[in-house]
Amino acid sequence: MTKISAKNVNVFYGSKQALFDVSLDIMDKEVTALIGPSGCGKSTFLRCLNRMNDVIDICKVEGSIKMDELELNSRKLDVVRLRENVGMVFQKPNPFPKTIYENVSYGPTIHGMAQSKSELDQIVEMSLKKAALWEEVKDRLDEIGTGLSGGQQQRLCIARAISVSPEVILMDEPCSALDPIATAQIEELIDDLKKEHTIVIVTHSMSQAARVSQKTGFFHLGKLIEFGDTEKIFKNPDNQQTQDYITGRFG
Amino acid sequence: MNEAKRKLLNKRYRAEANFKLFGQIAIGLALLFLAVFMYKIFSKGYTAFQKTWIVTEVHYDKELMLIETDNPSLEDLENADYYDIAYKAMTRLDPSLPEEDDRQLIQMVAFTYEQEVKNHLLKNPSLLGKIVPIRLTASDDLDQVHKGNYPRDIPEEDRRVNDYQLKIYDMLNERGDILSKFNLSFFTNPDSREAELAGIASSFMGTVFSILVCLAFSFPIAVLAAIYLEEFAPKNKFTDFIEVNINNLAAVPSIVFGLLGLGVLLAVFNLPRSTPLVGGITLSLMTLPTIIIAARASLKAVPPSIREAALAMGASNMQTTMHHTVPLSMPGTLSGTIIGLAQALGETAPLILIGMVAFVNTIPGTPVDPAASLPVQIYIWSESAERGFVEKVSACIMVLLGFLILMNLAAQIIRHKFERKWN
Amino acid sequence: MNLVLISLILLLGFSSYYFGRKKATIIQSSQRLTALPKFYGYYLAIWCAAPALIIFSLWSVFEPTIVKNFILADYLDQNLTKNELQLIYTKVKALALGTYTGDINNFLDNSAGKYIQIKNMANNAKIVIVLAALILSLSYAYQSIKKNNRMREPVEIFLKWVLFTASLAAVLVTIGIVFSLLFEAIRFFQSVRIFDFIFGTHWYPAKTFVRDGQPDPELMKDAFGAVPLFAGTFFIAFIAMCVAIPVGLLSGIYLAEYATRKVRKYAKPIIEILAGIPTVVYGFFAALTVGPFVKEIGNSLGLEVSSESALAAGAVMGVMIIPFISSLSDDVISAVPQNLRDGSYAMGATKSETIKKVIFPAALPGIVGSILLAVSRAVGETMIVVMASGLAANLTANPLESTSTITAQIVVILIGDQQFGDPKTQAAFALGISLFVVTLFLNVIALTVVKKYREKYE
Repeated sequence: MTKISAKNVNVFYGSKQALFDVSLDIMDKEVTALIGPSGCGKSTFLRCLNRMNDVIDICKVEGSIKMDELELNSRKLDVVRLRENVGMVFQKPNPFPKTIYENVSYGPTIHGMAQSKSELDQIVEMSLKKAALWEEVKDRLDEIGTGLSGGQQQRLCIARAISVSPEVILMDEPCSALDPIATAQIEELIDDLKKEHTIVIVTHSMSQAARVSQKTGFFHLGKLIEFGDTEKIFKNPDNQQTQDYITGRFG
Repeated sequence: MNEAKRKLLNKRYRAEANFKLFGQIAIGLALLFLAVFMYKIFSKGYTAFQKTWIVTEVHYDKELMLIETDNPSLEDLENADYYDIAYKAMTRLDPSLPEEDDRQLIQMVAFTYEQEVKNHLLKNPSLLGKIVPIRLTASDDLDQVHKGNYPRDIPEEDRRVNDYQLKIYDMLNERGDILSKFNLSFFTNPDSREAELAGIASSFMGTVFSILVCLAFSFPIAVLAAIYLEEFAPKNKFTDFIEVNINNLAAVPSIVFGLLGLGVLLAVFNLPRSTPLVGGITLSLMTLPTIIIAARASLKAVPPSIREAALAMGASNMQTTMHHTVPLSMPGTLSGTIIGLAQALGETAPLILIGMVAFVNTIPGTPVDPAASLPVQIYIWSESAERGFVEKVSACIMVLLGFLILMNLAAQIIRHKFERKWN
Repeated sequence: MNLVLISLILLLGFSSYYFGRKKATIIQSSQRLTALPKFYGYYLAIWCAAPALIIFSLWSVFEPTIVKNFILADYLDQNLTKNELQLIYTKVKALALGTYTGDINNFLDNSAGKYIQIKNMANNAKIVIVLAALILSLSYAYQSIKKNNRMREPVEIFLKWVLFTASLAAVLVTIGIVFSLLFEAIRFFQSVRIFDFIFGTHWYPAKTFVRDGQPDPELMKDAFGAVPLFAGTFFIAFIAMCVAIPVGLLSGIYLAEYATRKVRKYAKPIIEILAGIPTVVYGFFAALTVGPFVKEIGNSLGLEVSSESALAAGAVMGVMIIPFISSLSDDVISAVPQNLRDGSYAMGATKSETIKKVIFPAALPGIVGSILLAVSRAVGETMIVVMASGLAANLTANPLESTSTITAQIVVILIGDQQFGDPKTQAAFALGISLFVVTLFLNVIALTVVKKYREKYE
């Protein structure tokens, strides 16, 4: 089943065009990986899916992005409600300079998801457990989140993102600032999360895309060159450019 | 979406709108303060640029002037007696007035009217013996009446201009014998106890001298210090101490510098009191940290690649600094200096403490003559209650603000025109 | 006399620059130079002028004290107080310079003669010594030029020392402040107990005025209690902060987070104009417009309002401080990294929620630092208070009454002719040092907090 369907998406930064006519469908409860050399527009596309491009003044998005019949690229769309349903994990771990508990309870609190303190405690615990962080931090929930290690911080950010039970989670190179062990932990986590969430992950590492995703899209110079099942993309791509990139001839 | 959720969402959006509104109100308030402030100053001050004169006739009567020779030289005219003819020129306005009330007429012009009658003749000696029209500076009270700053409909005993004087004024005004022209003397006269004669020439010169002295002391020392701290200083405790020192000095209240000027410059070094020399040195101590901080920031902004390029060519550290880093940092340093001087220009309290608040009715010619400064002049005049001085203060403020705006513009222009952007 | 000497030294300095350069070109014909010819010139010029000028200035600084000691040595057996000795010395000097107008006795006349004699001797000695130093160092420098020693390094080392000396200026100013304040303040505390000053509740220095002799110590005790001034200072600063913090902080937040580029471009500099207006202008505005306005409103509400109310002065001071807080907090908020904002927006938070719950707490140390700096500024502000608030030191917490501050009292005491040695004058310095300590304390805390904050996000 299609969760998000993008049609002819063009993105401009001022006069510079960053995406050219990108169309692709993202399937529900699957991991979709977006790969390509830096500056190819994969993160820009990702940020269209929760309208994070709104933050940048000069950025303009054209085209249609539908999520379950809801048009995301519409002026009338309530971005607050959209982002409640589409969570995001960033390249660099960005926990708020607050306690671990406050970091995770932030979303549920602003969206009024818990009626009582105990309910909130439960959400926090659940989210941290899902993010495989609970065992490490359960005794120090009132410590500042920025004091954790890099891998823990990123898992805290994942816990923060899933605390509001979003349907879709966007991950923008979530492991690029982490060591191999922390990366492995996050990848394992992504595998677990896809049972309940649709995941779109932008990654630099092709092996990571191959490991975690079901579908892969290859971007180059703002264009979607090829999109399809991960197996096919990595074993037998249709496009020569994709082939060259996968085999490490450029990028 | 359930009802509770919708309610919460509405509440959140209301909070958002309110918060944004508060921000706009705050900005609006700040701008409103500025607007009210400017309006008040300008509406009170612009009339000071007009001066009021009373036109009357004077008879340069040789007899009354006690001139005995037939062909009087300039010196004779200089020594002649003008009291009677000046007096007659005024009483001529209302011949029916009994002699014992003549003060009422005399009070309508500035007390220097006799001098004005004399100067008029000295400029045109050929007028001797003739009856000629002459304009005399109106008193500040009449000046204010003419400018509409005094209410005329209050009881006579509350007014500074009585019914009789008003009657004469109306008569003269109808005849067109009240003149109102650009007030040049506001810019060329020194301070005076009489509002209609007071000008800003002395305080202006005081300000110019103080700022020049301040620049001469603070700029070289500050630039040299900044170069040392940014380019040569080793990273150690003492350098840190100097740095902390400079930052703190920048935040010390200005009046403390006034105490320093009083306690050291006047008491220990025995420099002359009330002079722009002492004022300028005191201000330079205040400006020093500001310029050092600006100069260091712009030295820091010169990218290391420039230094490396020069060093790689075999230039010494000193040569690299003097040939490349310092010239490249100059625009930033200069605009910082101008901003520091603009702050010094507006300072009042330290100058009061070193005695630049004295009443000076001469125009200072050197930095060691007693003088006031523009801000101190504002303070002195605003302590004088007469309505005429309120107008003068506002005008003086307009002049001062004009200078500040010019200086800040200059700083902006230097920064935008000459400062190089590094990528 | 001194001017001639200095001009002579400078003239010799300049000419030795050209001489040195010329010498270099002569050397060039037979040997390789160790530096550019101009360094030979600099080298000679520095050695010519610098030692002479240093000796000259040291001499000028110490000469008066030494001469004074010589003169007053004759009076030491008379058991005079310090002040009396100072008076005698002033008289001797005036007599010697021919400006003395009082009675002349033999003793004084002798001293004046001696003064003139010593002065002449000192002057001659000065010229001889300075010129001798000049010639000695010049010939040393000439020798080393002849030997074609390395020329650039010594010049650069000298320049570095000049730069270093300049950087000491800031330290010297601080030392100057501390010592000039302390010196007078200590003398003040010899006649008034520190305890009475810090805890006394009556400030009425005019009471101690007496035409001759020393004022009554009992009177002094009750005239210099600074509590009303400390209270007034912080009270007015508090009122100012009540105006400046909400308006300044909200403006800063609006400018940093909401304003479009265009609004920001124009609104920010316009608001900063408020900070560029001289304080004496604010004082005039407060005294002439705001004061009567507050009084009118108060009276129409049936309240008793002084025309020089603390409220008027405080409110205007608050307006002055608005841009200070708004631009500092704007900077601080803009320094919060974008990824924290992104994190919050991605959770579906609105802008105000992001500001209140993420950005503000993250920026709090920086904001607190800027507010402390603003408080320090309010405490040290002088002209607004002098012109718009009262000069009588009332101990009150009613914003509609008039009250006075530390800074205003310093001005009141020191305006016009001051006499050193008068307890009133010394009291101003004691107030000055309390002001210095309070603001220093606030500044050090604020600057440390802000610095730590900056480092965190760099």
